[in-house]
Amino acid sequence: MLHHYLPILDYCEPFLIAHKDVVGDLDRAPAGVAIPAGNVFDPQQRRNGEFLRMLALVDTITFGPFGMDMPSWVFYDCAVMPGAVFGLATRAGRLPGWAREALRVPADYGGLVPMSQFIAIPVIGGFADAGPPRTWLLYTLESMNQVAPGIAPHGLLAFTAFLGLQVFPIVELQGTAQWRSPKLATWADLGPLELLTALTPAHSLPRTLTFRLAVRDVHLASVLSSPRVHPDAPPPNALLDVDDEASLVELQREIEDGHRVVVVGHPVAHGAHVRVPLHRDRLTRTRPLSPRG
Amino acid sequence: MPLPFPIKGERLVDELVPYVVATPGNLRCLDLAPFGWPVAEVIDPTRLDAAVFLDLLHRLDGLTFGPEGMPMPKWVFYDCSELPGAIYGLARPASSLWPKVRDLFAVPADHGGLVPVSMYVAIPMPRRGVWFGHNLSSLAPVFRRLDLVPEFDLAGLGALTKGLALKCFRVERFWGATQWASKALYIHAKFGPLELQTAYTPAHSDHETLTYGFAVDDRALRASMGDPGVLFDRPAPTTWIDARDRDAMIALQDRIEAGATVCIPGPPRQTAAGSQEVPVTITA
Repeated sequence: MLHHYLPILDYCEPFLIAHKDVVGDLDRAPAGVAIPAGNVFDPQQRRNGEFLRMLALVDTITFGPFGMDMPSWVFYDCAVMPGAVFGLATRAGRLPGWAREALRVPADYGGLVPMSQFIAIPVIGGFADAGPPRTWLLYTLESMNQVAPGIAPHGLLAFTAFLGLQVFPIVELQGTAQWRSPKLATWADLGPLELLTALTPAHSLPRTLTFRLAVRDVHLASVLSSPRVHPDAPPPNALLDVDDEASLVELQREIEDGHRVVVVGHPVAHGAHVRVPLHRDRLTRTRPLSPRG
Repeated sequence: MPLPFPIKGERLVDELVPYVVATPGNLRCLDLAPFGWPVAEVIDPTRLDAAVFLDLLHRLDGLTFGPEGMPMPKWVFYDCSELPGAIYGLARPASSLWPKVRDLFAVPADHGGLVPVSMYVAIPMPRRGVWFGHNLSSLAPVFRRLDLVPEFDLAGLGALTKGLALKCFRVERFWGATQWASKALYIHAKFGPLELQTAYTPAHSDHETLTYGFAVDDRALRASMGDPGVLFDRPAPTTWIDARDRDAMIALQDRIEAGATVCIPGPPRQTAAGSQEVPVTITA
């Protein structure tokens, strides 16, 4: 499957932003795609300021409309210092004029311009006795194609996720998403998403879900192949109307009561109705197999 | 007295109670009785019934950082604090909350839980025991500015909160970022000399930000909370940086990038001209 995505590397180069104390824990050749030494940036070096500014602008453009663009202090304190940023970028000279203008690329700048980014940070509960953390929070995944389709090769988001998941030593992935976000389909491609929350008043957008997923090889492959039925997911036994807040409250209470709830497939839209397939353990009735007579 | 050593603001521990905000998965990694003082309440941010307390925390952040333009959006609280790390702070039960503070927070009439007056937020870095702190909120300056409870001085609340939080989080090595002009440097310097990783930081909203760190042990924590029995060897300053002198910060950053070892040996000082100067020692 990977070779279907390789044309992306004709246009984009991988990059990594990581503190010198963090970079050693990361894989600088995920899936065999080497990150050139010149594309590894130390966020504390003044000369990297221009690239970091453009990366912040990519975030503003992609998340700003949701009121969730990341202030630079959050990027520094909560993303690039505790974690790292992996992404794909293209040379400024390859961008059309309108794209250079949109990203405010200086006229004399010939370096990399970020097209996508994947940020992960450690979760304290995921530290084993020794070594790097096993649980990471998927903090951001975004691509310029989200707001300017065609500015970068198709499939960039999935390819960034595929490589990013291998840059970090992730065993368990946690993340958040809005129920109506198109990205929920990308997460569902990864595999069955066990819900930690279904309704999250602690978040700016309460209709946010929190998920976790044990990352296995089958998940890395499926994020690229987007299977109609994920091989690792149980069959759905419920469809959630994501715009029905009462249903979200009910689901949240079910989770708080200790029942397991899993997103097992892509959201399905019919007109104004969006439904997400779930597997709810509470609804499972074990039916013993009877021998054929 | 719940702490086994003298601190600044002894009355704080009589009047306030500690709380922790952490997910169940993270809670097991924390010390829920730092220096023997048990946490009174644990708030699970993934539950619906946490909503009121988390709204009050957001309000505390706004009261503390709003004027400086760096309040945290709620999603930052969730994604960058509660899910990866934890929040530790001190609070007052709503039932005994001072009326002016109740009004300030707009505490819901039916809220019978805690109302936070301070918090410390930190998140882990990829090496066990290494954390990055990103929010210290204390109502003490607001108390003073608005003369909220004249008979109760919250002085020492910020340092007490940060010291207990680092113990609660089991931090061994700490990193943080602050501005050269920030009064919080007085608190940070209580932990001992501060190693500098950056003096000018384009990756941060405010480029005139420094990145500082220190090794965390009980000595440093006790000192931060005001234990007069703990003293540090503080190297003499090589120079003082004026918090308005951008060129000096850039020059110092260039020296750090060239390999110099730099520390802030002690607290800042205020000049007659109304500026803040920060001591800097360049050792290599």
